[in-house]
Amino acid sequence: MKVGKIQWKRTGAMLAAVLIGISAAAMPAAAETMTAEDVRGMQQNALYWENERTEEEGVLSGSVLDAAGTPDSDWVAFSISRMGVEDNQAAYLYRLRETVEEMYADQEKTKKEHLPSDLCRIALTVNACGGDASSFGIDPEGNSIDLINDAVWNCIYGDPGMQGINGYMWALAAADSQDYQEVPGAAWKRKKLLEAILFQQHPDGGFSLNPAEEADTDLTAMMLTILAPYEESADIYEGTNAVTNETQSLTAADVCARAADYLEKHIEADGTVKSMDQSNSESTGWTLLGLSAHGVDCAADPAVLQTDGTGLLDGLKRFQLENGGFVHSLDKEQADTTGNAMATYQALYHMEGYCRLAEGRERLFHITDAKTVSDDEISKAGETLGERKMAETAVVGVDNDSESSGENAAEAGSGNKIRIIAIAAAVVLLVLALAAWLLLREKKGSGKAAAGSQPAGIGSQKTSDTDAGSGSYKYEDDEDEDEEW
Amino acid sequence: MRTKSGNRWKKSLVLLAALAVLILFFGIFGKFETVDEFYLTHMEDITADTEVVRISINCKTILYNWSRLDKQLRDEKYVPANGVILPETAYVYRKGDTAFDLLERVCRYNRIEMEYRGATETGYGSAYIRGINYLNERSCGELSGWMFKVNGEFPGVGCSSVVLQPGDTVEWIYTCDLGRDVGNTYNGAGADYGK
Repeated sequence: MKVGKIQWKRTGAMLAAVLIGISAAAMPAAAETMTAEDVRGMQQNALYWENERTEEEGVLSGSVLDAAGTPDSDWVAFSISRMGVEDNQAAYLYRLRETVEEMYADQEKTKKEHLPSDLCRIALTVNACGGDASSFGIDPEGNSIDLINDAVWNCIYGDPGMQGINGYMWALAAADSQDYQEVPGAAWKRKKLLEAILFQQHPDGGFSLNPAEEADTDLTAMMLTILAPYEESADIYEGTNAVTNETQSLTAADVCARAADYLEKHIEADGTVKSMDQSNSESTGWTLLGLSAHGVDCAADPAVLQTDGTGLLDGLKRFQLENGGFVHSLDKEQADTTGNAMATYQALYHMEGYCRLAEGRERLFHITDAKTVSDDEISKAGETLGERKMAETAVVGVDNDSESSGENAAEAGSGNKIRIIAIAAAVVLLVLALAAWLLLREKKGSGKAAAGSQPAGIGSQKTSDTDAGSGSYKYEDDEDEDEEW
Repeated sequence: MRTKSGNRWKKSLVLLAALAVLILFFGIFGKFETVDEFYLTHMEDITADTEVVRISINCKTILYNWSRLDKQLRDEKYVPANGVILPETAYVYRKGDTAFDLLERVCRYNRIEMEYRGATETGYGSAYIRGINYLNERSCGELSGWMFKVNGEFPGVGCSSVVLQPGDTVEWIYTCDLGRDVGNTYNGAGADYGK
């Protein structure tokens, strides 16, 4: 019997060991590769987070709607529209049109307060929501506003790249979003924009905001995203590289291939991508978008996956919270538990870029598949909108500032309230104490009087006792007092 | 036959009276402060054990871009001669402070004008610093505005998204070139100042 038991134990142990061994060996190789469906799921969660931003129904509502024309709102409108989500696009276009017309009412102020990329972002948002950026709103002279002309062809800033290379990239993106025709005599046609970008590539394939700086993953991915459509072109460009000063003769495809190499080398083991030495969601997402635009399937191509199958999709997923929002970094010390607006909207459109490749659809910035909204629909949507609440600024640190004076008053008020309540309570208590004391004094007095009216001697004692018994208060009994205390 | 309840009543009454007098004293002579007010008035009560944070505010880059500065702001009142609006100063650390909280309190304490949009107005967004000492974004050209560093690095997120730790150093720096003149490289699609 004993021998049998031991044998069973041994067999059992061996079996367990084998099973564990198999699963241990199997685990690294069987990391679940994410699919487009998984990514769509992530998008839905992020969409839920966007919905929760305002109390009103829909994503493009409340303060998000009121802030149309600012990056935080525009990119959200852009993303959900590219996702095909039907929301309040008509209302959004109405507010955006208001903003654009205001901008055109004072062009000098606009040039001072906005950058070329702001105009391009607005143009892309208009198109994504179903409008037409080349004919959007009316300027003070009664002419139709053509954002593409003013942001690109005959850029009102003179040089669209005055802010850096990203200015050229966004200008090209706006122009290509609906394959706009170049305006004859335009200062900035496609060729010029392309040259301004292509000859800024670093030897390692990366791009930086200006040639003097180090290459950055975000910008390199942005370049790849926007220039990928030109990979099919056989056009040769000749010029001088701004970083190395070498003369070059190249095609867009050459430059894109080197950029893709650069990005592939910068994917970390956990699937994230760093910028300025820190893994962050935006760089990870941009890399995903850039490579997707380039045609690389980031869920299947071995060139962008670890041996265990980990890739950019896994990396991006690490930044998503349970509430659906995305955080900027995973730094424990700065743990963000609510989600970051920029990280989330960028993740939304980065994921969209990947899904469009996986599903064989138009690229993210090729906005020819958006549901159009007519001018009438836009105006109609505007009719039902209430007052637009522009976010107000508060001022502190000056004598009549809203914050400190308001606050002081409030604090003084609350301080005074406490004071008044305390004094009132004290007075009430004192009055009660006084009243009670007086009552006691009376009772004591009547007791004495009764005792006094009794005949002296035994009778009086008895009466006193009786009176004492019936409830008058004696203070002489120290023992009792001690006990009670 | 004396009643114990009688004595109890007496004691209670004396107690009550004493309490009433105490409350009266408290009400008349007590000093009431909210937590916020306390921190505002005790910012520099630093002892050997106090946890501190450091903050500085400077607009030195404007000195190199004077011709681009709004004419109304070309005065020492707005741009100090050395560009230092607030030299690096230690203040009492308050648990839970974000970089925004600290700036707001420091500006109130030092009576430095500061204009901002609160985090709540932007729906999960971050507080946005429009201007400090009347120097607003775009006051010195289209590429100008306020940025901030924590412990020598740009956090890459809005100032009300950065929770401070004891010993942290925050620098508020005015840039005239989208951050390039103050050591920050590209930071997202389009400039994001003081956000």
